[in-house]
Amino acid sequence: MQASSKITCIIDDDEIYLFTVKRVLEMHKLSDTVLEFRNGQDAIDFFSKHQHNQKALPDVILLDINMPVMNGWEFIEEFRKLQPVIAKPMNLYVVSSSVNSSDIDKAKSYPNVDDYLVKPISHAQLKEIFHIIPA
Amino acid sequence: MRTDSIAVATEQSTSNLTDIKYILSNHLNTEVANLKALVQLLETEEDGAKRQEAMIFMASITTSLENAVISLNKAAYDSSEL
Repeated sequence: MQASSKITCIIDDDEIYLFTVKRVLEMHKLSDTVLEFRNGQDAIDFFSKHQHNQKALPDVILLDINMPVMNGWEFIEEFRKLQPVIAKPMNLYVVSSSVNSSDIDKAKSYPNVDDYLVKPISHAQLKEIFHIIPA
Repeated sequence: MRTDSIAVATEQSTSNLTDIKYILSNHLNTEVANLKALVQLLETEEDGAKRQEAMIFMASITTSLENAVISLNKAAYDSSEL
């Protein structure tokens, strides 16, 4: 088990995915706080509002692609514009059930995306993500 | 996205078979991923309430997969009539 004060942001509209990931984070004590947003726009609004507040901002973002209002690709573009003024480094992972190589290649083409993970994320993958975040 | 995708697929006409395939492919990928995640969770989940919640989600996936099969059958039948 890993003691942590890390904040995770999950941007996904799938309630089952949210349930399973939040529970795994809780069971393995990987993250103290989970912020959840059902679309990219809500997350961008949050980041804009708290851009100077390190304590409110997440360490890790788990981003879905297919969502209403603002999808994952649109989020990445908007997030890139915000990043220069955001007070905290954040690791951004695209997490999707798509195994389409064009989605994988597109995600990896963004310099601000750390990796592309195919759902379901294993417990080991989640542990690895949090292991590489500095305490 | 799992919400409403099957309903959308069911409404597609046979002229949009590519759309149906795309929607159902996404939907099936999502539901299979969710099912795997729930099974993985249940292997270690000791909290009875959380186990119960996971089982309810599994039941909803069963219904969702049944609807996907109905949509696939409809698309296959309609396309054979073209």
